[in-house]
Amino acid sequence: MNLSKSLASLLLTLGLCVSLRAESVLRFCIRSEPRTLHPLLVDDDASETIRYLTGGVLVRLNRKTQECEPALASSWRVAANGRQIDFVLRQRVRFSDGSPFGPPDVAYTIQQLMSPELHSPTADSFRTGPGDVHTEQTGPDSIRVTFPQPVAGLAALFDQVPMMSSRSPMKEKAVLGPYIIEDRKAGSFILLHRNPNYWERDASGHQLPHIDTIRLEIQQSRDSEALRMRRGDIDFVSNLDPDLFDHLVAEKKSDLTVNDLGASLDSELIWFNQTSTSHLPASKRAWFTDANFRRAVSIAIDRDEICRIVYRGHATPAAGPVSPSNHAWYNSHLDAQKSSIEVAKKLLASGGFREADGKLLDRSGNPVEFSLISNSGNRNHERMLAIIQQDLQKLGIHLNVVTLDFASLIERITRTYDYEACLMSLTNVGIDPNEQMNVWLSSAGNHQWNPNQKTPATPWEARIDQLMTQQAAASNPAVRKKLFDEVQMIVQEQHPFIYLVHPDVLAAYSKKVHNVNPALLRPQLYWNVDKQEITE
Amino acid sequence: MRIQAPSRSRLLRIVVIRQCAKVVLAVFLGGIAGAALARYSAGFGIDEREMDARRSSASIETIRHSRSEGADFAVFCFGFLRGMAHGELGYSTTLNRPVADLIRERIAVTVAEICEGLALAIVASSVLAGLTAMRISRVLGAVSELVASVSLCVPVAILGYLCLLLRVAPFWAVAACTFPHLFRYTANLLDLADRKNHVIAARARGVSRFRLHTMHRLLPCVPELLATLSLVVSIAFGSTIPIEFATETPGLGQLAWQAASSRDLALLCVLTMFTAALVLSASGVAEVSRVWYFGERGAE
Amino acid sequence: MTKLTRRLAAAWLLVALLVVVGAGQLAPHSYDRIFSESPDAQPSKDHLLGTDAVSRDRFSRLIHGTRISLGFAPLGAFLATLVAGCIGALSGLSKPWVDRTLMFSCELFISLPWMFLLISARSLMPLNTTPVASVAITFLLLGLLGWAGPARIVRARTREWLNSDQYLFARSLGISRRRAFLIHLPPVLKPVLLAQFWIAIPVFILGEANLSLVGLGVSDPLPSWGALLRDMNRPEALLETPWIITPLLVLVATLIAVQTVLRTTRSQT
Repeated sequence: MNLSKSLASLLLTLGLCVSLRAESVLRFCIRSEPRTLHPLLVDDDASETIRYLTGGVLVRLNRKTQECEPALASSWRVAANGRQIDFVLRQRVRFSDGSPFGPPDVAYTIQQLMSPELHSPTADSFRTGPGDVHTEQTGPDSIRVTFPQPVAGLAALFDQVPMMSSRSPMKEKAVLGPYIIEDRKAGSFILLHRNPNYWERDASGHQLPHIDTIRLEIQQSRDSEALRMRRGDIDFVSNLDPDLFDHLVAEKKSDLTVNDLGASLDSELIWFNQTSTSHLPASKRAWFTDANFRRAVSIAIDRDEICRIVYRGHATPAAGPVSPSNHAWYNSHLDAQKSSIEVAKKLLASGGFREADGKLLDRSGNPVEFSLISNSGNRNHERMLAIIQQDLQKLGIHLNVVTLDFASLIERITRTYDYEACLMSLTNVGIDPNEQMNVWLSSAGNHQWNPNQKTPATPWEARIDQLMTQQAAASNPAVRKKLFDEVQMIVQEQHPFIYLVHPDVLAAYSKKVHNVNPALLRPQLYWNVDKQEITE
Repeated sequence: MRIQAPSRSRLLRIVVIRQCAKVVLAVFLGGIAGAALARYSAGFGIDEREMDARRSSASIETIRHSRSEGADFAVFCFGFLRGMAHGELGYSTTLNRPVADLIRERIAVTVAEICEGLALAIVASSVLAGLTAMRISRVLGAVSELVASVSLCVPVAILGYLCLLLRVAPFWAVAACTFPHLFRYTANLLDLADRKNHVIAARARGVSRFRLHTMHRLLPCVPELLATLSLVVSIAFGSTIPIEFATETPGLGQLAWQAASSRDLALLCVLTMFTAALVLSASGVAEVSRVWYFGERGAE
Repeated sequence: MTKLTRRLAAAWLLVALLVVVGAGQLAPHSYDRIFSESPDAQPSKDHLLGTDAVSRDRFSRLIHGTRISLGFAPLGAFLATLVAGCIGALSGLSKPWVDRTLMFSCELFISLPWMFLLISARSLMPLNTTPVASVAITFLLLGLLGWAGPARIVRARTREWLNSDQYLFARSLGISRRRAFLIHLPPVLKPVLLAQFWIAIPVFILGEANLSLVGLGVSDPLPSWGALLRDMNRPEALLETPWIITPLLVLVATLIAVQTVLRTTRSQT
């Protein structure tokens, strides 16, 4: 009797202990409300965050090593020159609602993904040519996916494809990732709770993830985000502004780790409007299509000053389209251009430009002046514009700086082509050059300086088209690297884009979060969230 | 034949009906005019996702198609009004949600912000204007006037940033920007009341200072204060856009800012209707309270 | 209000006026000159209010910003008063249904999202428009949008005059309605319009400041009070670099001075 009483009280105490254990909560900010919760329709950062935290994928790209690792697929093999991939799936994996996961779910997901009616942006990376994608179950736990054309970097692309259940009545709400959506308040927060059926376990056999809840605060302003970080209201900030970063470093807060992770994959760049259908005056069109003029402008801009003043030293002068942090694709033979007004003047003189009364005149005596547009409200862009304006003044070029709201800016650069030059950021999510196909192909809509060309306007654009198409079809990484190196060389020679800097990734995180392993690739701080722990 | 002036109750009824008709007309015209402004503004139909380098031409075309709702403005208006007749407020193409849901989720935040802010401003302005009118302390009067002047001169968005800095709720900013209007109007009314015969007579009778102030000066001003209050409500609502922008409060002001930035036609149309209804209702309440108090003279 | 307060307000406005007229001479540097060696510098002998994030002299930018804000606000105020005068008088003089329609339009006008007009104007302006011209257009647009409030006051004054003995007397003397409106009404409306003009100036200064704070007003590198206030959108910066509050203090002091002078004038008349 006594024994049973003791046992009962022990169980009660244990039960109380378990129920009283404080839930571990990780807090960080997203910039906006997610546009969609459908994992295959994700096309904004906030939705991408939700997808990463809730979606289970076959292959996961390790953000630190930049290598693919097994996830829901225990192994895979790419065959037929990149046209085919065979996956062996893990056994006894269940969706968050308890429904089992198997090859039919993979087939269903691929079918949904490639459906033309869905218009999934993720599917665009897999569409390298006409034809249908086929799936075939090759065993109880294995499946083969066959594409009509070779797809470069095929396995890594599956990092973006969360598996969906073909049987669950909850449809896309049944997930395989470490978290499930528990609650949300419009414009305020989204609450994620650990998925009780998550497949992964740690070395000691405990089910992951360790952290019970993630609270995503919707916070548009980086300033407010940094303020909350300083007050200890949130645990992570992945992209701090340089001056806010310096303030955090100077404060030397004992409970925070502040890291400059090095150059990001993103670039700040300028381009001139070379569109044939724009209503530019003939003289301006002649300057903008002259490679020497573009080169001179590029050399006149002091990238070191931009790094020092705008980014407080937390940026790297850019040599070309690929950041030095992208180890696999960076062309190490390229060097960022050193600013030299003398060299720029010589280049301009060779093109028939001359200086009179401090003003630069072209061959026909027209004073060289143009406008540079950028988006309003971007503090770094506004600062860069001021520096570029001063640098070009040294050449005698009068630069008219115009900032527009984002919608008006995009309208000008994609629809009306009513602009002369533009300063913008180029965000690179992945490391593979295939993700930039729509920038480099002359027929593409995002070939900003002269989009949607029927035939390449210049021989060097024709050569870039050829090289990009060849690298996309090649399966040998070394051959692809060689081909893309040449693209980078041409871009540096012709300057269709004048690359300025690669801003650093500036991150801060609370010391109470353990196993944080900051990486340059997105999501920089929580890419291994399932293994992270919190101690209060 | 003798022409009779309408009785006060009949006049009141006429004014109420007229004001209601005005509100309905304003909602209709305001919605259409607001949508027209958005439709014909630069950047309409543009989606920043078009700039995503990973997207194919077909994908970009799909996005453009999805944002083309309202390209034919007449069709949009007809469809929107037909939807409204069925109780639907349309669909936000940028936030990917029904407009009714978006409004429902956020209206409580803004209403609470305005109510709390106004309550604070009313209490502060009544107390300070009262104490100033009672001439208890000259310093207090000067300080109150200075606070009112400063609040009136600080841009509303800055008041929002100050809320962030001081870690106080945004309704403080709403209170700060409505306080000067209420304080000055109340102080003026009390000052005018001081010169009225019944106040002079009461003072001569030796009525206590407090009673004189509350029963003889403040109470008769209530209808006029009510009229002012209804106008201050529209000031408070107008201030929520910069305040919620600065403090990132998930209310209607923030929603209006998002709708404007992304040229979200359906959302803007509804929000403009809401604003028009509020502004017109506020002036309607003011008008009705004037008629209620002054009778025919108030209607003029 | 003490005599000293009134004198102080007048003196402050006089100094502000001097700054508007002589900004070029008073500012030690150009508003866009970059002193690249010292970004975010503290106040010093060379830079009285330190430098901003791009190493421009804050004091010089404040002087030039004062010129822009105080120099252009009267332009907007004049336009708003002019439109308000025309519409208010027309409304007051017209038949009841026209009057009601015009006043209803005023209320409707106030509730419309005119922000789009500002966005569009800015984006439809030719890209080679000089920054000063672009600011002038912004203020003119603000002027075009700011008539609705004053129009109601003008309309009320017109109605008051129509019901006054002065008007009845003029009519009884055989003066035609047309002549009464053209000759007798303008002097009646003049004080109201003047008062509205002066009241509108601070309104437009604040309007520009609010627009610049949300990125729709004067844009870099041209300074205005609103553009300079953008540094305050990082609230904790106020504690670290308190001198960045100077533009706000100048703005508030100027607006209070305008209010003080206005109230003095009103109480005297």
